[in-house]
Amino acid sequence: MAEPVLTIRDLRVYFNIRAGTVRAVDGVDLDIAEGEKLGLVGESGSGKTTTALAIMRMIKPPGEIAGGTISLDGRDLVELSEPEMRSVRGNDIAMVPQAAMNALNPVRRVRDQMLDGLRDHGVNESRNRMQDRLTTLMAQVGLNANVLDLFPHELSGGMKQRVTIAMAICHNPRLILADEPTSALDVVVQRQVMETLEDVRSEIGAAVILVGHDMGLMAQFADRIGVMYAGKLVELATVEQIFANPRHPYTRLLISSLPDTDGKKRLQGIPGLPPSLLAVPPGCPFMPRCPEAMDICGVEAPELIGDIDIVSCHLHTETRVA
Amino acid sequence: MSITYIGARVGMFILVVWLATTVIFFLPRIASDRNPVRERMIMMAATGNLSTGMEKVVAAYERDYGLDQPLYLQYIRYLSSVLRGDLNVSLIRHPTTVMDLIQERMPWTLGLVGFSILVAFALGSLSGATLAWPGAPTWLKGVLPIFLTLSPIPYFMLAFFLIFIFAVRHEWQPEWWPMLPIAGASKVGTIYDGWDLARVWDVVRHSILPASSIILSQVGFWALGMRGMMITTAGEDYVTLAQMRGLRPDRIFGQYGMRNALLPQLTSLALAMSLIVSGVILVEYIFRYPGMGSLLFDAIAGFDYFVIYGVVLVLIIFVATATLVLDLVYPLIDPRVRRAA
Ligand SMILES: Nc1ncnc2c1ncn2[C@@H]1O[C@H](COP(=O)(O)OP(=O)(O)OP(=O)(O)O)[C@@H](O)[C@H]1O
Ligand SMILES: [Mg+2]
Repeated sequence: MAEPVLTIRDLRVYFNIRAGTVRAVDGVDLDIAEGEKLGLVGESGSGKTTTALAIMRMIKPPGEIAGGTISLDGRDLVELSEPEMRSVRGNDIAMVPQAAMNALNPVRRVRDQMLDGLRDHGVNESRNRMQDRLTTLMAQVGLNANVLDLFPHELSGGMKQRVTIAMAICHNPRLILADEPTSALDVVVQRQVMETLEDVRSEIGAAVILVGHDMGLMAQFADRIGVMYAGKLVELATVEQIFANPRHPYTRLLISSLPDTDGKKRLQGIPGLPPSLLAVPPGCPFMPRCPEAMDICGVEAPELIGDIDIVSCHLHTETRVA
Repeated sequence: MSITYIGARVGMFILVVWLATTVIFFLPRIASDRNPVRERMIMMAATGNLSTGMEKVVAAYERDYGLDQPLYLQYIRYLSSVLRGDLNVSLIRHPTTVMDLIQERMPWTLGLVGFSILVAFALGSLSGATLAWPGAPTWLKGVLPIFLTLSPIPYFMLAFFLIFIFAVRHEWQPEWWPMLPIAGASKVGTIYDGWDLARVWDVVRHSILPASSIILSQVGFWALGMRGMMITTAGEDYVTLAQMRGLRPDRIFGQYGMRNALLPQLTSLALAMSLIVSGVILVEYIFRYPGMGSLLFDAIAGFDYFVIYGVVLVLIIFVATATLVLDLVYPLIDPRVRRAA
């Protein structure tokens, strides 16, 4: 595996609310290689968005990064001052937001909003050079240059999302975070936007973390898939491995809940509810819903096993021990 | 912005001014049958300034101004003279024209009110916005409750309060603190030719207390409205994305935050304009400020209805213009209403 761009170790993000401490992300380890495409899946509330926001250092009170390290090219982002972090945002790590509908400032033209990014990251070129840059960016994301002169309310959802992609690639970031970038779009536009994102990503060679629910979309797009459950990464493996040989019972359920290729079988979901993140019981958090639960699962939390394909489940602890 | 939009707004403006003029014409005349001309003659007779038969003089006046005619004819006559830009003469300060009186008083009111409203609006909006934003300075958090406490107090109460503190109790201030004037717009008996520094300072000094009473009671109102709007704006996706793009904090605050939060504030400003203007009338009266407010107050006291008409007409035009300007400017500052316009 190539040298990692981003290395996350034991990341913990807690929300201190009145009812107690919500452990939204609870000890996540993750490496992302240069130019790698990592998909992050998991049920609603499993901590995917929180992980992405933590990488951006955008966790707002009552939340806080309670521990761990996030190294970008060897620099620990958790330790950076706010001004230092500001120059990382948009420059080294870029975000493609989920709710593109409202992600652009309604009173500023697209051109000015794009220029804001260039100027605030110290790009100081002649008007014409800047102009050329913007036109090129627009072309890269498949938009006509005259979109620059429009206001956000004059754009369709897909066009807005393309603008946010153009903003994201504008400084050739090392890493792009895309949190369900197409969930607000209809299926046809979803595909086009995903293809655009993949095109520009490969052009600039950035790594990407794609957050989403859709295993089908992940299968097409990602190199590796990480599965999150209750604030923990429970399995991480290549796409081939995950689909051919899912090792965690939760991953298996996720995959079997996919509709068939003929589309007849509807998404069926997984019975039961994820645990409260306020009071995580000892043992494996998935145990209450796990069809293959054993005695030990209620007592001891499973360790992460493996170097490249990683899983956290007693089924595999035992096979290794045995 | 289309011609029809502008046409509709201007039409609305004319309609409002006409309706208000009509109401204000009939209202005092129906409510009271005081005769200011006769009252003035009685006064003059009492001081021995009237030699000929009083009834004859009153009748002559009434004939000249058509006051002996039925009210609806007077109305038509008044309306047509207003359209020609003639606001008639003051019945009490005869033969000074109402137009002259207004021209003399208007600059003072415009200066005092315009300045106070702008300062209160700017100060309130800026501090409200800052308070809603993360990292607001602690001293500001301490100051806001003071202004919030002041804002439900009517201007004139605040005015009395200020007069008490800064004039009656001058000994409470430090030695070097200047005595702030509590009446008039400049020093009595001083004749200035042209505007030199001494005159500017004199006028500014005289405006401090009346302006403060308006500003103090309004800052809290604007701050509160702006804080609410800004809290909503701070949670908008476009602000979050701007932060994630690493834009400069001051740009996010100004162009992404305030710029959006200010739009509803401007609507409030136009709506509050008439309230502000009516409040200012009392402040002017209390501080004997030679503006439109005092003029109106004296006119009402003497039932000088041509002056009442004139002043109210000008105030209505002032308020309606503020609304019209906002209507015409709003599409320029909010692109989303541009298409509808
Ligand atoms: N501001 C907050 N205050 C309290 N708890 C929060 C806050 N934000 C997130 N959480 C908690 O953190 C946990 C993880 O939330 P997160 O948004 O990361 O989930 P997610 O995996 O992105 O879900 P989804 O698929 O629905 O987007 C949730 O249980 C949520 O309740
Ligand atoms: Mg999410």
